[in-house]
Amino acid sequence: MISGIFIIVMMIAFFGIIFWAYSDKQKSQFDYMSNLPLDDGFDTEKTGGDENGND
Amino acid sequence: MKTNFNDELVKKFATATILWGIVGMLVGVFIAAEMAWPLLNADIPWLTFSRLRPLHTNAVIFAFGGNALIGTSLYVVYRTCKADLFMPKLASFVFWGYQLVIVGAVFTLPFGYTQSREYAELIWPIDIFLTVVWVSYAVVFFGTITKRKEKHIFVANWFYAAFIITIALLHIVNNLQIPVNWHLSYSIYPGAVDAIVQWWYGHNAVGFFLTAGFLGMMYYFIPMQAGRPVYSYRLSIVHFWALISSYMWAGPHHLHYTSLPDWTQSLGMVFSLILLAPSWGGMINGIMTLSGAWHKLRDDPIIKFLIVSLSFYGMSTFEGPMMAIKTVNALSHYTDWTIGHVHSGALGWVALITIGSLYVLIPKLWRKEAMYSTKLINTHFWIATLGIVLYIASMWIAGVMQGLMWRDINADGTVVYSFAETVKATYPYYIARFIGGTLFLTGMCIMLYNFMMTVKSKGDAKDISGVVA
Repeated sequence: MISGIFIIVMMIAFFGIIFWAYSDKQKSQFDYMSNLPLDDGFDTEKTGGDENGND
Repeated sequence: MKTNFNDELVKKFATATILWGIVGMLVGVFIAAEMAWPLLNADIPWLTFSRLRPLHTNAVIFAFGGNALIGTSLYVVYRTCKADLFMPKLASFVFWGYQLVIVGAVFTLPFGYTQSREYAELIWPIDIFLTVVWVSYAVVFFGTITKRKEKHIFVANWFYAAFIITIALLHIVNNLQIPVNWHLSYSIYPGAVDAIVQWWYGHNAVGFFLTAGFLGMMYYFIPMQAGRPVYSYRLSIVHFWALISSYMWAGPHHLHYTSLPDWTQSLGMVFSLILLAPSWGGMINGIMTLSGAWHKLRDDPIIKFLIVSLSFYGMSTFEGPMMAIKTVNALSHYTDWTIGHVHSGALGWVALITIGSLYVLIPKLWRKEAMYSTKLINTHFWIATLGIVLYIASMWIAGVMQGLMWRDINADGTVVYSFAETVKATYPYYIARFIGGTLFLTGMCIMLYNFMMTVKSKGDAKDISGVVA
């Protein structure tokens, strides 16, 4: 009984996370976040050159 | 030259990673040679395989991997939070304290002071000190997150955070011991409970130390080096929650066909199979970051390190669930196949992603345009890859052969081969493994040279191949 309830709760939580992650509301924030590794300039003296691998 | 404390600290971790990596792998190559040529221990107790093997595993996992994880996590957390590290003095203590723990391992394990718990061999006084260091590390890491100037917490930090919290939990629960003198202690758990606590620890050390932390590295350094954003940020969130919630339960697959209750073994097997989904989801997310820039896989040896590490990650996270199936495990368990599997993950995934990330990080930390030599990075890549393939292929063949020989039964029920015959048959594979390991170690030495030349070079680093990575 208790394990059955636990499974349902965990499933709701998991599908909730998927629903949240894939909702349009998050899109602009996520687009911004996914570019964070490319913005490596915090508190460093740039030494010139393209830090992100040049083409 | 402008410096900041954060980078100076990460520099120390990066240097320690390379140095301890070479030490740990050297010990590994030596004990691999002992398997092929047992006389090498010269009858000196602290040179025997049994004493040096835990030194090797502790050195490569906790010294090499640990320094890489702590160093990169501090770099990533302060960069993506756009805030200086919380409590700099404590952060320095984390570095020196952690090195002291490693030195403690070097001065206890070869002399036989051990808890005899795999990957948790360190004796209780060192365990307590490590707890203090680890909690300080958590304070620095989470303190920096609370100072962040970004609204959201970047996904790599989630993986690093899971690694920090879970390792604290695992370390404390698995090392609950009653000391009887300064080095000897006994576990508080009885029998089969003790065994499952140990492998709950052991497998989650794989899941959270050797996987989650390095996935944090993947989500930061691959986009950075590829110059492309994270392929799917949404997938990375689902990846995170799916991975951390299923890893916890996979431990029992280390205890198939033992006195562990049968249902627990089956549970471990099922959760190991489920793990394939988040593992491959994450791998695909990492590899697809290169989408639209595939040529970099050809041109940039650092990208080769990073992407091939994900290929090995995919291979070993496919192999792992397969080996967790009880009928497969009946063949593979206690054979060298396990050692092959572990090194496919440890050398292929953990070491390659670490090396790739360090090649990205070193020029940034020391304010150089690029590593001293891109050609040498390429050489390192091919030597390392060849070494891994030789290592894991020889151990696969040896392991399957051992498993088949052990289970070969005559019509009257007696075994066909004595154990010594299986050892003799393994001999050539032990030599091949030794060669593979030596190649990998050679690559690390090339890296050390390239690292030293990069650090020594003047202002704008000269790059003998003229390629800016």
